[in-house]
Amino acid sequence: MEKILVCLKRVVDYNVKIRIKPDETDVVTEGVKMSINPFDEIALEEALRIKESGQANEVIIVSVGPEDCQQQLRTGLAMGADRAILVEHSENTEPLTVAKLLHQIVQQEQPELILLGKQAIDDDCNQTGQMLAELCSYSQATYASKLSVGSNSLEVTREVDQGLETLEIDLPAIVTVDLRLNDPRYVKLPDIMKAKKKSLDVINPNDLKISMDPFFKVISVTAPPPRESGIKLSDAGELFDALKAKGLVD
Amino acid sequence: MQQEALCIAFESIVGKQNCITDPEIIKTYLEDWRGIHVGFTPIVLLPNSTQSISQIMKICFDNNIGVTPQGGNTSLCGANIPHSTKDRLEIVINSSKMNQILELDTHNQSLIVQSGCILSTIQTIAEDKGLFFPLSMGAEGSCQIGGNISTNAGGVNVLKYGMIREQIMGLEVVLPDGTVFSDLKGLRKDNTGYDLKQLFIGAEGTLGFITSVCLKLFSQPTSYSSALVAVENPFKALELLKKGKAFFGENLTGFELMSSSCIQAVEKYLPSCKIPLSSLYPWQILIEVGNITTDQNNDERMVVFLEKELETAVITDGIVANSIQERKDFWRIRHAIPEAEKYTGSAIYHDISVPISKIPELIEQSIAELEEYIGKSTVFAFGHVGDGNLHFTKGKPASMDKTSFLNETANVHRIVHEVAVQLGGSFSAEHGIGTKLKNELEHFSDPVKLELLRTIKNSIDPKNIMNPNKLIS
Ligand SMILES: Cc1cc2nc3c(=O)[nH]c(=O)nc-3n(C[C@H](O)[C@H](O)[C@H](O)COP(=O)(O)OP(=O)(O)OC[C@H]3O[C@@H](n4cnc5c(N)ncnc54)[C@H](O)[C@@H]3O)c2cc1C
Repeated sequence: MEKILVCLKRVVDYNVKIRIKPDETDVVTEGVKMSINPFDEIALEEALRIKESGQANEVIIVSVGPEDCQQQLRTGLAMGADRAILVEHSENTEPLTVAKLLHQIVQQEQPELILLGKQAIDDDCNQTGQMLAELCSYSQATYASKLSVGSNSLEVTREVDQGLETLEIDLPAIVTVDLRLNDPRYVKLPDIMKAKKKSLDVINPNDLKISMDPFFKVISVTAPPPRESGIKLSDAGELFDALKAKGLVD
Repeated sequence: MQQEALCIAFESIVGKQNCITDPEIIKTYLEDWRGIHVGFTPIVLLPNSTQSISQIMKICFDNNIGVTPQGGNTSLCGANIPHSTKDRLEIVINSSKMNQILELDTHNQSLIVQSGCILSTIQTIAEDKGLFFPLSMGAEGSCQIGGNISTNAGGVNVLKYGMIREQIMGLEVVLPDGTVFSDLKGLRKDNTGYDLKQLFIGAEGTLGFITSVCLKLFSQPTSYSSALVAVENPFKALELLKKGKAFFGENLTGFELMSSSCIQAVEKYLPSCKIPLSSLYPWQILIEVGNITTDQNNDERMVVFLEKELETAVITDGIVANSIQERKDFWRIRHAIPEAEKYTGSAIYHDISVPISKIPELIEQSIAELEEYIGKSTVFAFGHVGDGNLHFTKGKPASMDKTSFLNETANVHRIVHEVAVQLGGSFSAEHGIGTKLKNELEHFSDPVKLELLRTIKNSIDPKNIMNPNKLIS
């Protein structure tokens, strides 16, 4: 195929202990380590492997978000993507808006394959890929843990509740990827230096004629209740009594 | 007192379940981490209060019973192992149940805990309040703060924060006769005579039992920028260190050198560790900066710094961590080295220090002299080179059998230690003396120093109750 498009989101690093702002409007991101959404990184790794095996010619990465997203796009370029596009928007974004913006990019670039993470670890929406597939009228497969490219189709193994499901879908297609698909590479210093010469286009959402007005309003963001500490019981009888007292067995 | 009567007395203090006499259970308290030092005791006590320890010490003092203080049992010089004999009973007092958090003062940036708190627990408690306790090392999930203090532990953050001695504001110690010396004030300034708590730091349990401690906390770095780089030789490592200090100033918190043999051992024996840079590079360095600003361009600065060093061939390759997970991957390799070494077969271990400028000579000369003395074999060289500290392990030459190799331990030690001392260094950088290096202490120390050490030991512990036969006799 000619082109693979990979969508990358900049998120709070998954090892960071999340804190809530005192006014409960959002989580704290000031001064917090940011990284590529881990699922998106896996998507990029897969695209690069497909290209390196000679089954694709170009890998393009795209992100929607603030100016600082350039850091994550530069990382993606250093991993091996050929060029990058940033749709710059400093406010929070919602899946439908992002899907509409990506749809515009897809129309410009006409990739045969689009790879994204199954969800972003910040809002856990798990929507963008599916919405984009609908907007583009591409075939779609979600939660991919294995992917092989055929001449005009893809074989995708999906992780579903009952086990694994294998699908064959036609190209062009959208695939959202799961954790076990691959293990992304480390970025070497010489590759970071080479990546500086690669092109990174910045686009204004207005130029894509997509409204960035939010569809929903955040009322408050609060921390989950702290987990109660466990208790030690001496035998099964005590356990039964304790569960009964909580009304969990009768 | 007969042993049975003693046990009854101890049980009345700590409770039956905390007075261990079952030889099967006691086994776990008798062997050090590398399985090199093995000892014996019929009694292990697990008290949970200063008062209990004071009562136990009083009994031991009155009955002339030796006491080995024990924490997480990760000592690397046999200082934690009891050696009870027919002639003299020696018991273990283990601090595992002394694990209460007593007071956290976020304004004073101080934390008071009992001595049996595990190091990683203390790190987490500080972190939860946005503060930082800098002591960190491979054993942090099992070593205890009392053990850390008693060995004056160093670890991976000494470059910026110093050894644990510099992070201690106060101590509470039970003396050999059961008296309690209490100096738990969280003060940064207190010039009221000899700073007695310093005596117990690094004393390896030979002067008293540390029961509680007041630790100094620091502001938490907002993030870390970490990189793994390859260099051709230790001279390049020194050059990188110097430039790193100039570029990052005091925010350079970590600089750990690892020989290819170390990386290869981790790769081979601990396959769950990811190896980001080829293990064929002769030397790798883990370099780390603790950022204090919330600037998002911190990692960028690391890249800028390393790019220049790559262009001028100080380094030959490198990887900058792109996520906290990658930083963890890097540290996992560094911390896995002592374990990987264990799987490579018999080896003789050293923990030496020299002025930083002498590190390359230290490595070169030790390797050459040992090769001449005992033959060629794998050498594992790694450690906190930013502090002039090197862990240097000589593997068994293939032609030798295990016993004859290990019989050479004292001679091998002497050769390496002699090199270090000749270069203005020390034969024990951070792991201490214990039983392992007692002879070396006698051999290398100025008689005046030895006399002072004995004077101090005798005046605080005249009956030689505390950790007898360790450090100094
Ligand atoms: C994998 C590994 C990595 C390590 N890395 C480092 C490193 O980077 N830097 C470093 O400095 N060390 C390192 N060490 C060795 C280090 O000395 C110990 O890990 C630690 O400081 C000892 O703590 P512990 O609780 O295990 O003490 P133990 O081993 O139980 O005891 C150590 C000494 O302290 C005494 N002691 C213990 N508790 C008390 C107490 N409450 N009162 C009085 N005396 C007491 C003991 O009698 C003994 O002399 C490492 C060890 C391992 C196994």
